[in-house]
Amino acid sequence: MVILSTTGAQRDQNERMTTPVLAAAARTRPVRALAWTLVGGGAVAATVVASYVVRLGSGEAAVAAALPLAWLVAGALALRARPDHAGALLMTAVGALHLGAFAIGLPLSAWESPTGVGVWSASVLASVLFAGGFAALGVLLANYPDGAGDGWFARFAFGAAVVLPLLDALTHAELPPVIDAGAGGVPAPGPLPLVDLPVQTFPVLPLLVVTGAVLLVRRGRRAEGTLRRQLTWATGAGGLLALLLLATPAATALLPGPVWALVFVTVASTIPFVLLAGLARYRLMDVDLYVGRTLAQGAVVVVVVTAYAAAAAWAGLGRPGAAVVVVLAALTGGVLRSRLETLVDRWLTGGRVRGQALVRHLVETLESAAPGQVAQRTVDTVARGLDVSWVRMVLDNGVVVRAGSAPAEPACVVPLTGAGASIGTLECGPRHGGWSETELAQVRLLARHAALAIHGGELARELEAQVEALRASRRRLVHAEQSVRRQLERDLHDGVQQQLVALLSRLGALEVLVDPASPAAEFTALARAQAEASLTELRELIRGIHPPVLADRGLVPAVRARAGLLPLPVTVSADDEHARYAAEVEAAAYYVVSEALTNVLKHAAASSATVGVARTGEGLLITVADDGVGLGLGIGSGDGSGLAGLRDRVEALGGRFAVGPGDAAGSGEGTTLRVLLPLEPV
Amino acid sequence: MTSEGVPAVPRVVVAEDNYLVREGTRQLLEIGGAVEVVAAVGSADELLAAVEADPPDAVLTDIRMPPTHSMEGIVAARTIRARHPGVGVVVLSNHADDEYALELFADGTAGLAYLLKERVGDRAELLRAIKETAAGRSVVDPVVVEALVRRRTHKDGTGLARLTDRERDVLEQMAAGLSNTAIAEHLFVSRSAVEKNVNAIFAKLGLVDEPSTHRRVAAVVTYLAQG
Repeated sequence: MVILSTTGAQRDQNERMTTPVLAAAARTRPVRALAWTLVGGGAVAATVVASYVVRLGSGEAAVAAALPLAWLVAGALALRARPDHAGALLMTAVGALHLGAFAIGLPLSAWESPTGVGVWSASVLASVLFAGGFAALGVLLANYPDGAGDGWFARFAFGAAVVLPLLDALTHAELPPVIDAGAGGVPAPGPLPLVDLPVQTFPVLPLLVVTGAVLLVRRGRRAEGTLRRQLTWATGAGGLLALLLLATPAATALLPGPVWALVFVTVASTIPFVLLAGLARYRLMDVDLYVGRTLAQGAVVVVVVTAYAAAAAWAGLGRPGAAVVVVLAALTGGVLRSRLETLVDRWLTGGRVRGQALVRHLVETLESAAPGQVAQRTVDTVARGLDVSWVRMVLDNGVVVRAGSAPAEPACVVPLTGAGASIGTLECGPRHGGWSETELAQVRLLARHAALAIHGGELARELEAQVEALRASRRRLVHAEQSVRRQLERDLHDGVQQQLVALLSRLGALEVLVDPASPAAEFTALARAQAEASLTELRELIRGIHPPVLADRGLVPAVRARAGLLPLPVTVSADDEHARYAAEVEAAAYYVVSEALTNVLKHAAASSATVGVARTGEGLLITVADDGVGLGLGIGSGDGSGLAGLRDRVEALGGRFAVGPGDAAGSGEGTTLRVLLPLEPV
Repeated sequence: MTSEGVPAVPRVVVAEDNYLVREGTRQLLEIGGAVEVVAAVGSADELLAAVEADPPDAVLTDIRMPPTHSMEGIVAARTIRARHPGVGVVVLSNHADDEYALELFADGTAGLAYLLKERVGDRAELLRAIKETAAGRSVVDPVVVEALVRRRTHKDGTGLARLTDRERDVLEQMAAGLSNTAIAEHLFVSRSAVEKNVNAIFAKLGLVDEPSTHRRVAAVVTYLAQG
């Protein structure tokens, strides 16, 4: 399959998509200088922190410092891979700024009684650096992975990082703690507490990170292709962080502080590396599949742990009570998990399905679709799944289906080929995010599946129509044969049979008039005897063609009359002696019985037979059973048994046919034939 | 042959939709003035009208006639027997199946005869059936009796099945309305042998021996037609 045309509009879109990367490359030199400055500064700060940590022997400080160090390392690695990348710069900045804050804050907190303008200034600087780290993180998230996006948010974030700590310092008697896990705050009074506000502005800073994350998610839901995959990494990282924060209250209640801090920092330290993976190794695995599942799983764990902690802390439950709570929470969690997974997936993808999932979705859709719906389902899936403005399928048989309106010049046209033959084309309009080779390949794959399904559906329809035509034709043949038999019987009766009777009356008269002593009398008697014999023979012939008793008296009397002719006791039982059915049904049923009894006589070596005629909910049930030699030797054997013809006739009328061992008494001997004929016209 | 209440030359209506058969039958019966055919009609309605207008001694009718060409003759026969008990009805049939005879005898056998059309060439048999039915007796074609007997044999394991072949032959002759003498002549045996057979038949079937021939036919046919 070949893309027949790619429009100019689409090329423009592709170029626009790559623009931020090009813009970032243009700023290469100053960015690179700043980046390595940050790395160097961070390294120095890390050294300072390390020396203080060693001297103070503070495990908590070491743990807290590990987190920015992880950012610094991840940032440095990112810079090594993409030296000109703003996202890498921002990652480095997060680590370097926080390490700087620690490098200044730790010595201050180690000071016995820190006072004075110098201490105040250093403290404010540490706060600004700390806030700057958060701002960098927020900006990184908001513009991930390019790092260079909406300028307003970067300006606002970094502005706030400088202004808010200053404002805090100027409006409070005491400086806010630089870091929670560090020395527990800086008690130095500010030299210029203009107004002593009861509310600290400093905690507003983490909101920058949250805002960045919100912007990230907003973009993520609209993104396509490569960008989407990268953003999914970032979303995963954000989700991980959110889960950690949510779990903290419960965890701190259950675990000793240092232990949770260790867990927190260990898990949180992976976040920069996850973002790094998103930048450099976004094709590492099918993250689409894993992120939703992981986050849902994590959420369940958090719910369970929180429930347990709450129960333990507030309700004062003993161990058994807590166990009950955990079991309940786990059960609820199990139910919630798949629901959550679906929700998270839908939330992440905005109801769209992509890549292999898109193909899988189409195949599943096609499986449940009626043959006539395949085309519509396909265009709907492509339109929704790939966010295409319109999709149109033009089939060679004249059928046109579309999703979306106002089709203009198509952006791409994919031929539909089923079993080697072209069956039409699939045309797509422009799509949000433009057409890249990835999406085109997906459309080709979808088109291939759809073409096969449509082609298969058409074949199935043709086959079904042919089968139905054959079925109807077979039915007509049987009906025609029956009607010919009836007509033949009437013709024979009205014609030759009556002629013979008239002849007999003449011969009878001749016999009376001829002199009994003359030779003519003898010949007359002979002629009459021959005419009588002819009439008798003709009657038997007519009975074989179509017994008049069937039309005149109905099925059961005809069956009884037929049974009465056999040199074999035949018991006929019927639920209704005088019931009348459609002529075709009566004729078919009569021939079933007649043929089956002939078989019994010929092959079964039976001493008696039974015939049953009963009306059931499904139709007319005819049973012919004998106590003879059974299958293999009896009527079920050779092809000469006439059963094949009987089966053909029954099935042609839409009936069912079964031959099995066992007689009517259920002795297991003999053979039973069961035929069900539909009473309603097929 | 008895002829109580039946004129020497019975007046007969013939009903048959086929012209050749109708005329052939009429002419056969009228030979020598043995029968006076007062009407020859082509449908059951005409037959009933003719009987209503001038009831004859007997009627000779086909079964399959206009308008439906199925069992008009049998319906007409039973109607005539119900309205005019003095009119005998001989039904001439192309059907050897006992089903038609059973339908004809549904209300009783008196004054009714069921003969196959083969008998149309046998003038003596036709005249006998006309006179028997006109006298209120019954005649059944031996072929049909055979079918009736076969049916009863299959149905009833203790009665007819125990008859000997000879007894079965005699039974069929009895049902056909023949006297012991006629049966003896027909079977080339002595009259006393026939009487022995008749007694054995009645004993085996559990019937009371009827002295008069016509009551005997009724008993046998009724027995055969049961169920």
